[in-house]
Amino acid sequence: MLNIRIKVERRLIIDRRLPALISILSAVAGILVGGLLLTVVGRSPIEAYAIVFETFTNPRSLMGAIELGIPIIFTSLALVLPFRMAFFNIGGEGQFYMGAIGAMIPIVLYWSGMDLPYGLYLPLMALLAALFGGLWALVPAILKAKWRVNEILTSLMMNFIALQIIWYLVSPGGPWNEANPAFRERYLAYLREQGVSVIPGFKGTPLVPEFARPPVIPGTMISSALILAVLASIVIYFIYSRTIIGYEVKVVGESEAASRYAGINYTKLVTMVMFTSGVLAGLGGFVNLSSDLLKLTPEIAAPGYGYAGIIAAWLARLNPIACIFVSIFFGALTQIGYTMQQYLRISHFVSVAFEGLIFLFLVLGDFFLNYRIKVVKGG
Amino acid sequence: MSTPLNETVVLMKDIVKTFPGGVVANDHITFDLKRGEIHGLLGENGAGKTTLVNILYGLYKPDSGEIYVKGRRVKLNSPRDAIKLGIGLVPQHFKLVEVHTVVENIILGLKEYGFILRIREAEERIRELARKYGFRIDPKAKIWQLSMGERQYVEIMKALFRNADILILDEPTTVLTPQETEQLFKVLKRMKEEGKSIIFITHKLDEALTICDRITVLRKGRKIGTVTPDKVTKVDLARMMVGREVLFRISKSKMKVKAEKPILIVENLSVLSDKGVLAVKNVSFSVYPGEILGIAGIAGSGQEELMEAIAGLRKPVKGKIIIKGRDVTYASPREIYELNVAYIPEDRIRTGSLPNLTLWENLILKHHRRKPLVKHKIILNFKEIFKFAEKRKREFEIVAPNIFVPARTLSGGNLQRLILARELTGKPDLILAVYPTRGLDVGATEYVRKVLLRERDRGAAIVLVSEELDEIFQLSDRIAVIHNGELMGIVPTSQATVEEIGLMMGGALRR
Ligand SMILES: Nc1ncnc2c1ncn2[C@@H]1O[C@H](COP(=O)(O)OP(=O)(O)O)[C@@H](O)[C@H]1O
Ligand SMILES: [Mg+2]
Repeated sequence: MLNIRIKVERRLIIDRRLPALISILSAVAGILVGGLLLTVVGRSPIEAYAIVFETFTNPRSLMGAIELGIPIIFTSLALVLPFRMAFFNIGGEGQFYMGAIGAMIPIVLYWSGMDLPYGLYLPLMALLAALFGGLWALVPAILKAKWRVNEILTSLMMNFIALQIIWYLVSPGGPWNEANPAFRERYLAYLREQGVSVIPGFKGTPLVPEFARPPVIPGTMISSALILAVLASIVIYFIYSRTIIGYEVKVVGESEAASRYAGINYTKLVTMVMFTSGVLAGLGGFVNLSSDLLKLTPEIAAPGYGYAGIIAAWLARLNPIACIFVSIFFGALTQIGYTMQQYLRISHFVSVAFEGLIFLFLVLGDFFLNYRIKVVKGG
Repeated sequence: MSTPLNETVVLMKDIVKTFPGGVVANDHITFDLKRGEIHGLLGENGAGKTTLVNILYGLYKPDSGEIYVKGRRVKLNSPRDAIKLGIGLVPQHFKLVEVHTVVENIILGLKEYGFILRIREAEERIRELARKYGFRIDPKAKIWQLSMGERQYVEIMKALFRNADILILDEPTTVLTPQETEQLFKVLKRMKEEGKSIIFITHKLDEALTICDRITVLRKGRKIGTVTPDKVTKVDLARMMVGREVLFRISKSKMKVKAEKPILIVENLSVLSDKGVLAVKNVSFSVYPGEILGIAGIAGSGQEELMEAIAGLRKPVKGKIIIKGRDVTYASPREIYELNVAYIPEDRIRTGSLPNLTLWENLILKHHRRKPLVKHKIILNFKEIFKFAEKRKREFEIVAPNIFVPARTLSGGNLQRLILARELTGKPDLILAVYPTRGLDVGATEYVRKVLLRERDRGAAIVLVSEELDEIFQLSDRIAVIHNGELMGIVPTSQATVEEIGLMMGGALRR
């Protein structure tokens, strides 16, 4: 009797090139199967493949993808160090909001009639965003270090609190709502120049004025925030692989007992790491606010950049440089979704299902990276 | 299936196994097991003993070689295949589920006992087995309630329950007390009389000579030979195993004149255990430069907590700790380290090393904030780090292809060398060594002891916690005996007898 068993084995040695290769193959497989999904709703998969191909080859769409990926670079990068020390910060979303709030402060002051030299706005916004995000991230860090409170719960809760703060600030009647009389004089004048004659009073702040938006990189359509993102990933890479902090992060992630034995001060380390993490997520909020959203509204929560960062960081295997590419890939998927909705006239849900399928394949690919399936003959 | 006595039940022929990374764990090993014999597999850590039996148990596939069980050529793809052939393995590290009961652990994975209805039946069978072989175990006890010796019995019963008549025991005695070992030997003899065949793995010469009918010695993946205990001496076996002469007695120089100022003073110290009970009760002693203070006691008498308190890993509830004149009762581990104190922890794997990190990352642990390993306060200086790690690796003869392999690839003895290499960096003034030779083979044990004596002669003060009286007597200048958290007294080794120390360890004598 032929007796065949299927056996799953953990791979002992993983080739350095394998992760990238498997990820690419899984993405391709996901796209192929995703195309078939479209036949269910009566669209041609070929058209879907054409859109995918177009997105990755047409410079315009590629730049769009990069632009969409920038905030995710920040939110995924923010998780490299905490996750490596087994501190499961899922509060990137809230730190991102807080960053946007911080960045909004100089703008709010500007519309209320206070002036600063123009060149100071962007640096000041970035600084405040970093500070707000960083401080926000300290809360779960300190709760864990001092009282061993589970960081997953606290950091998640902090996300909801941060969003509530935005709601409070920008809802009609709120202190930062665009219809606040304090903004009226200057903001109305500005709107008139754009051909608008009233302040509608929607939920949201006044707009970020042009001088406070990061310039695009000359010759492209990409925000110069990309440069900041790339610099940030180099800095994180450096911290992780070349400094005492990175080394200690590694040690804590490997064994808490050994780290205590080695005299590593957990409280100090987690404080530093989480502050850095919050700074990065906060900068993501600043970038999103100043180059894409252009006004602080609760819609900042819609794309879920903080949560996307968790998946991206994980797919990048917590490698700061890989975070850039994975995030841009995420941006490309979003871009593909938009294009498909537009040209194939499919609903938002179908395009989300398409993206979800690709993620599913990436997750499966990760499994095959770590395990291998063997068919064993004989009983 | 009746195999006459003296029939070969297992024959492993020309087994070769190479691990990724190039270690040849088994290099053309031929091994046979006869019915009704106890066949010892003797070798130092890393000799390839576990690998060989894992192949027989279907856990690893050999690169080449043939396996015959009860006269038939077999291919073993998984333990299931081995179990079907009547092979049982008691692994070196037990694989029992701690929160489950003995029965539950024994029937785990057996389809025919998967229902509650049949637990009774299983219990009955376990009781019967226990009676037959003289195990004293309640089938309903939870694993965590059992001692190491009892857990071992559970593992053995697990194999017997599956009708094993070929039993493999991988270093069964490392976790046992001398009494438990004796008990185990009785059980093994009974099983042998029953006609069962046993592979007994050990690195302890005395044990091999006591219990085995034949002994096969492995060294560095090669088979050195198979001998019978009546034809060899302990010295012969040691030579086969280590490949050179081994000193069973290390000569110790006389202690130099006692310095007047102690390095370490412990005063009326009380420390709690993890469970919150008093583990160390009002203990006082001093240790001087150039001496080894041995702390003798049954494992778990409070010596681990005492050492952790001195190292700053556990805050005392009462008393004082003074190192080099400084009150460090509540100091952090880092402050203690900065007073040039080395700590060789009991748990080598989780506390003493970082298994998945590389050798260099392991070797710089604790020193990683020091110049010249660090420049500009926080930047790792790789040139110096690699030089440092290479030098440690060379000095302490750590066997590994390079400093970039993970620490988990090291054998037990090599891992302890790595920890020593790291801890003895910078000529420590005080060395705290907790069970430094536990689980190590002869060669590695000898090495560790020699290193400790060398450090003592250099002038370091050493506190040595050990459960082996042999070791305590060989190395210590004075012996402190701890019983149930209390110090029963401190005796100069020259005036101590084994009987007396034994009585103190049992709490029957105070001095
Ligand atoms: N899974 C593994 N992967 C790589 N090397 C291994 C593995 N298991 C054992 N080794 C190596 O093989 C050699 C023999 O190990 P082992 O059989 O465990 O020895 P022993 O049981 O005699 O102490 C050692 O050098 C060990 O480091
Ligand atoms: Mg072994």
